Amino acid sequence: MATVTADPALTASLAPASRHRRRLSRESLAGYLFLAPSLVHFLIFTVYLMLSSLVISTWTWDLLTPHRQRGFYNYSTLLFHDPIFWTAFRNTIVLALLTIAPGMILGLALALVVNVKLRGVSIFRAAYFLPVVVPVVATAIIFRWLYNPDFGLINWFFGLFGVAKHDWLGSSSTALPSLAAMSVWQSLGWNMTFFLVGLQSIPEQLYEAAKLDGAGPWMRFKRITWPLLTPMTFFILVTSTIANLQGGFDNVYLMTQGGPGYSTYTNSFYLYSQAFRYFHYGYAAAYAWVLFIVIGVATFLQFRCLSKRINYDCS
Amino acid sequence: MTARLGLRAGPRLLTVITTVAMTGILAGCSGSSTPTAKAPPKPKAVSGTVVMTEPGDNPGDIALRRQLAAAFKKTHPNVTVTILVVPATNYDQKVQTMIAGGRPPDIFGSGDVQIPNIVSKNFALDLTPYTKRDHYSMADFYPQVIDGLTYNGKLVGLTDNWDTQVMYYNETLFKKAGLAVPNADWTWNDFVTAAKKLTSSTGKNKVYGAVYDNWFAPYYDQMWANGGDPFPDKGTKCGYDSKASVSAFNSIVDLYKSGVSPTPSQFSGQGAEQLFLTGRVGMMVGSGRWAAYDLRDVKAFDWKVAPIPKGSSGTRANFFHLSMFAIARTSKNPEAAWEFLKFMVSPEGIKLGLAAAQGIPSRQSIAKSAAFINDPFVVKHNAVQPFIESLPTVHRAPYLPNFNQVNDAVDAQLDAVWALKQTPAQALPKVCQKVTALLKAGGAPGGG
Repeated sequence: MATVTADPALTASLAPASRHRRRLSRESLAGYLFLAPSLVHFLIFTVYLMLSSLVISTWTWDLLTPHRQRGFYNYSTLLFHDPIFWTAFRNTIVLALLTIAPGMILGLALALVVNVKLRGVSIFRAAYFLPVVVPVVATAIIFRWLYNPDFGLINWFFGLFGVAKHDWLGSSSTALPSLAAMSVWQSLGWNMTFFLVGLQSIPEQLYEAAKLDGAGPWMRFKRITWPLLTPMTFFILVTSTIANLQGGFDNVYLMTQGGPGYSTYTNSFYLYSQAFRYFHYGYAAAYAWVLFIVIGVATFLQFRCLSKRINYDCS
Repeated sequence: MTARLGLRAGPRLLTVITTVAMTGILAGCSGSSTPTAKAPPKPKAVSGTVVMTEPGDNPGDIALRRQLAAAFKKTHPNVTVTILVVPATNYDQKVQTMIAGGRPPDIFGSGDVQIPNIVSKNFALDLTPYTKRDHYSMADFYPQVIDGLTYNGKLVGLTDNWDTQVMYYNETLFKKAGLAVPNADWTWNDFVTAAKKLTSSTGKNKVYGAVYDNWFAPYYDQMWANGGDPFPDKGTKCGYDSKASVSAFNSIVDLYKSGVSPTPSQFSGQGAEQLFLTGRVGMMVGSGRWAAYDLRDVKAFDWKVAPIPKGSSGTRANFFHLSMFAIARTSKNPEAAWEFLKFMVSPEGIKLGLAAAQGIPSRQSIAKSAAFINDPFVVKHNAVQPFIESLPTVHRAPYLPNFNQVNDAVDAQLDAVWALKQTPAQALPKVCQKVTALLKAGGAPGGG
């Protein structure tokens, strides 16, 4: 574990305080100047817009006719009078659960496989990473054919074992898992790459020492690899939780349009529909804020509950 | 011409994959002032710029629009028309943003189901005062076109073309089966009987008698033709649960159940038109005249157009695909925009686009001209007469200012019908349960 100890030399250089303060302010001015371009951008395009959307979330507004101030009306409608919101919310969580866990486990497995010193292994790494850079539209077309009830490869494969044809995207029980399978495939290369970076930063001598002590492969994984991968695991978990709670939009939009019924409506899809297809901008802004708070809480909880169990140092 | 500009939200999956422009356009105003009852006096000359938005999914339309702008410049050297190409998928969003930002396009296109939204929000300039002031004759336009673009006595736009739902049939298959081809007198029974006779074989050689597309235009048609109405009382009520509507849906579902039409899950991946293209389908219902251009290159079989069959009420009903050009009410240069709009729908303007026309010209003089009717493509496929025969029975899009939201709610309930998991009698009352609240002003979540 990392420890911070007071460095006597550093402490000396910081005194006396008055001189330090003056120098710091000149330095910090320069620092802020360097920061200014991105800070201005951040203030205008993030902070200002977020605050605007907070104001808009209290309106009923279609962008074109004058808005009406409605206070918390949008929030109460969303939470208490819009069953589609709760359906979308539930679907988003289910989709996230079905995507994150398999995506991470398979990503780690792949990383372990391609983390070997072998000629041509980079070809495999590139191949597994490929789905990440393939445009979503192309992926969607491929998966729509895979899932096609009549001509799809998946039904053909199950047909070899005498399983009857199934309409994967067309039935409400399998549409969501089918989308999850697709996004696992999409995220696999991404997760693999990060795990690979994590694996390669583990010093080789730890394994050598463990081998000398007679540790088998499983023991080495359990006692060295897994603990030292935790920062990366945590990073992937947090980022994919955020991405999944926000997202799933592209896949839903391209594959199912929320159907059949409401079985694949996700937060992002319904939010998009409210804003850009129904022109309910105030309502969509309120929706976005609810989503923001949910994601914020989820991320906070992950930090709170998991960060103590992370090994940032291997010394 | 912009036959596709209106709304062609076909089977919802396919539409997205092909990124066909799903919606028309919205445009409008930021104020709430009442529309001008009287046009300003006619200026001696117009000048300045006119910005017109055009969705970017049809290169032919964009080229035509630019050609029209160049031709207009010759007679109006002081006016510059700029064609602003907007990505088709974000078209309405972009136009709305422009208007909200105070820089509206002067002319924008829209169509059928999106027009009520424009009307309800008063985005479009009422053209009636301008037509009166200029003694602009509309006698040459098909009366249904002018009627279709008139709401509460106000003309919201003009168009160069119109389109409606028809049937496409594979003449080769009909000849092979020794059956009489469809004609304007066909009833639903004639259609089903022929479809059953054409259906044959199984497996790879399966031939379907028909493919009946399952988006709103064809099933509205069947509801109307059976004496129903999806949204009666000017869009304030839900008519899906009426007896007539249930029987209309039953008649469609029977096609899927009896196997004379592939089921929606079977054709949703590729689309009805693609299936018809394979030559293994006798008749296709669910498209307007745009499909003729998708079928243009078919060589393996002969196909022709016919009106859709009449329903149990004894009459035909066919959805009116009506696109329009409108002038934004907040346009800074309405006079020049009006001049260019008139030029686009003038005989010269329409003639410029005739070669690539997907709809029927809005002017009778051109729709009846030899150049149009004797076109070899038209003659070969009978691609005008069935539309003219269907014109008296066109039905305008229901008056739903929040069409997208209503239609999404309907779709969500109908999925179970199309998957053959629920009967229309089970699902259609649920449609009305979900939709009735949305039809009240302010009753929709987010719109209240």
